[in-house]
Amino acid sequence: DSEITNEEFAQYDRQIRLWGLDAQKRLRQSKILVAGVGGFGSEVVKNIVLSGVFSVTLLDERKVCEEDFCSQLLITTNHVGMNIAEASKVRTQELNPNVEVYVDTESLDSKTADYFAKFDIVCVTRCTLQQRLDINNMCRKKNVKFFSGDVFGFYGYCFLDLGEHEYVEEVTVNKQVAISVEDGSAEEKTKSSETVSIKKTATFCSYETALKEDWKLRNRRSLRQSSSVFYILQILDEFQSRHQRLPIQNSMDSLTLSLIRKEILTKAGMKENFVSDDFQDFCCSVLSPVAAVVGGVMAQEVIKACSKKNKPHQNFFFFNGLNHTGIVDNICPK
Amino acid sequence: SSEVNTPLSSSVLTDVNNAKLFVVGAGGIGCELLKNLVLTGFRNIEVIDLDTIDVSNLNRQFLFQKKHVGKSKAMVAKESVLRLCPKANINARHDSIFNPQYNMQFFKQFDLVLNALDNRAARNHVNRMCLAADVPLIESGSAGYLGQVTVIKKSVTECYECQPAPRQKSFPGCTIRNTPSELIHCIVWAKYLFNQLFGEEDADQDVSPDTADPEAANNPGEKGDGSSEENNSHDLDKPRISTREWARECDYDAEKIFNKLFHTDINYLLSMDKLWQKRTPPKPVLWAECQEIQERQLDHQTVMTLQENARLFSESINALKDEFKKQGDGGMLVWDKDEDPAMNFTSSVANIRAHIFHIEEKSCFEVKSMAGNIIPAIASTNAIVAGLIVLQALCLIRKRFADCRTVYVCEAVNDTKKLLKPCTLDPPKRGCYVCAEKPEITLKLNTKTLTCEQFRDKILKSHLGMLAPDVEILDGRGTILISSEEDEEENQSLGQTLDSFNITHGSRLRADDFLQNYDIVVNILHEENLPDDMIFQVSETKGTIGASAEKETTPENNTEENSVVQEDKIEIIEDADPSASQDEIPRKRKRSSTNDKDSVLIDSSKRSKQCDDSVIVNDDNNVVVLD
Repeated sequence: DSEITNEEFAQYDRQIRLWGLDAQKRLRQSKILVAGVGGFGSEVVKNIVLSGVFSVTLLDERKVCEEDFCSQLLITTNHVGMNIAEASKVRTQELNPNVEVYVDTESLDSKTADYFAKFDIVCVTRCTLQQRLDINNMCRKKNVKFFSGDVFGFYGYCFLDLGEHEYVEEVTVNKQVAISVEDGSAEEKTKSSETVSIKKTATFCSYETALKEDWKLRNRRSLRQSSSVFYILQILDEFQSRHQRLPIQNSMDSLTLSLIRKEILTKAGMKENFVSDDFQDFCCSVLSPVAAVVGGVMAQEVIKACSKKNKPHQNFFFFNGLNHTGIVDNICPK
Repeated sequence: SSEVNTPLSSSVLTDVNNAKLFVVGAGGIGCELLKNLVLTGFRNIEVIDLDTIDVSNLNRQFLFQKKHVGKSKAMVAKESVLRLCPKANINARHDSIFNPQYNMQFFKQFDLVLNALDNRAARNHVNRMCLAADVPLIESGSAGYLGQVTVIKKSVTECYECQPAPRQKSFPGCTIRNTPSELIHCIVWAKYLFNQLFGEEDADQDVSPDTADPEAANNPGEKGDGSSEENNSHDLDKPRISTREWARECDYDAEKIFNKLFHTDINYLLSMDKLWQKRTPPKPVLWAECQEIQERQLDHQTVMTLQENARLFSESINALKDEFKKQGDGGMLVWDKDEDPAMNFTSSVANIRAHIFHIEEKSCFEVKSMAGNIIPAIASTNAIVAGLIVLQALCLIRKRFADCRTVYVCEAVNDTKKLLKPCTLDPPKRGCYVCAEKPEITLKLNTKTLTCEQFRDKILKSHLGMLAPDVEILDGRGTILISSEEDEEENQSLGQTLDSFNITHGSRLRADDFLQNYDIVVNILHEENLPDDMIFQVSETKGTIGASAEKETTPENNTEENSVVQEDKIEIIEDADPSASQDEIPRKRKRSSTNDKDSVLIDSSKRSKQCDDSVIVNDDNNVVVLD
């Protein structure tokens, strides 16, 4: 049944006034997978569930640990040791009884293309670069829209591959209208505006393709507008692939990170100071306000993608919580 | 907690644990903010909110559930946040921030105040309290996809009131009563009618044809057939009775009221033929003409026919009549966009009037947006804004004030690629009549006609944002003009004009608000020829040319009455102000802070329409500007 009930209308009133009823109807048919329900994942889940999608599946095999209490908003302190997806279920359901909430405690690596094909949108967080690349490619084959994102201390990113994405954009057209002035003596030109919907298409590249862009070809102006977080992400991916874990706040890991920084930037032909030399002091764990910012941006992109309303950000978003800058960058070989 | 892996050093974490914060507002931004604060490690938080939970909050105020509707936001928010962090020390107050118990001493106990408000009056007040107590304030707002955060620190940055407030949109009374040309004019008229029939009667909200319309400077009623009908209140021979009295006499009969409003009164307007020389004349309708209805499925977004609106009018007026009678003698109804009968009445009346005046009708849903001045609000923008607030708070806690920024949340990026755009904080504005050291304001007004009460209410309270001003005449004798202590009855001077206190061209007054610890010298310039619609004009503030208070008032005496944005406090939504401005604001340039020397200048001059007055966007590059 696609008719929105009066109860739903009352609950979603303030957002229907923003994105319209058609967008809301498409949202309530969308099935979303969120793989990785840490602090960042929990922010994404909260915003998506509040918006009123059809279903959300929380996939995570990990157990709740102390560190989660600094950023995960769907669990409580008595959940330590429990599976984190399972622990998040009750609170997730409370956020919006209209949404079906499913939990999957299996490992991400056990999932096949057919599994991902059951969703309209797949979001992966807290995973390795290889997992991102593989799942992105499976999703592309199955025409499933793919998102990845994460937060590392003060830094965060999100990535979208919506394939060939059709969307509607509302454009305000101004027209000059003659309106007589109160005293009737003069006529005054007044602007009146009209809103028209325009259908558009955006084409995305895969994560794998995006990584092939040669940044040496970016000019100085373009580099100034680019975010160092793209390279911080690569440094952390490299760290993870070497150590099978993310770094923690200690001098050993700090040293390793500085070395990887040099390697990665040199390999990319970038100046070493493109990533500040103290980044390793600010890239551990998940800082809650950064998860809120990046989770807000990513969830809004998921909502746009489901509702096919408004132009999606193409194709990376980077946030640096130390200088408060959020950048959208289209990273793709030109 | 030092074993836990965190990007904050243990000394910063200790400072975070010990900091004492005051969160003002537990709505859209407030819920997100409280969550971020406890997760980040803040442990001592006071939160205040006067509001109760409404079902329309649940799409974003995630600390609340359906079972909490009607309960205190502050109290429920506290309980929900304690589930996340049972050891946090949270004190919730279901109270108004204007309560005098929250005085300067109260504010001084905090290391930091964080605003998560939805209206300008409260923002102004907290701004003044933080200036008085010298406590840093983080200010924020959101509207739809747009948002912003900034930091206010006494003597270092701009205060909230350094930038002039945009003017409220208002309409001349004769447009509302005689010659509506847009649906909004009909909606304002419908809300007036609601108050005339069921609400607080207000002489400034007359709904009958305005015979004093300067455009119709001829003998009215010559050709109108209206004079022959009974109860024509414009018939000069009969004593004028109030709309409510008349409605009561006919027992709120839907047919009689319909015919009077939409036939008799319209015919009367038609008789003022000068009005229609350059306009399409309205077309009166009779109740009997609206009775044939083609039944069909109606939903929120249906634009109804005249007949359907007539039926909705009849149903809603009957429902309101019953509610009104339940109130008993002297009781009245308060217009609320979330009450169906009130909203159905407003929508049907506005649409019927629109039909008569050949204005395009709209759905009930859209009329509600306009009548309630609803600013759309979503979880994601509030989450982003609240995240940015805590990052500013961390800069303050880490004693890195230089890292604080005004940050704008944009909807889309331009070629600077910035979706979240930091800008350096501006220093205090020299002419600011709030944070300048000895603020002065010079006003042009007519001392022979302006009463003390108008001076207090329209100028000191409404324009200058004072709560309970005391006013002394600086005549060397310390004459008290207005006292905040005395009751209205005791303040006998209120009805008298300023000149009866020898206030004349060049007089100086000192207005003082004890609670806000704020005083200002007001210089009076006598002016008998103020532009139309004004009771005063700001000539300058503290040696700097200030904004003109043009259109601050209307012939009907007050902007607010004629403005759509008046006071249902919910209509002002999420953490953003009600007074949607359609006006352009003086140019202002902000220097964007990029990591390198080549900072980009962002022109934030043109402010677009879809925004409220605290969050305003430039069409060209989506810069949002906080006032």
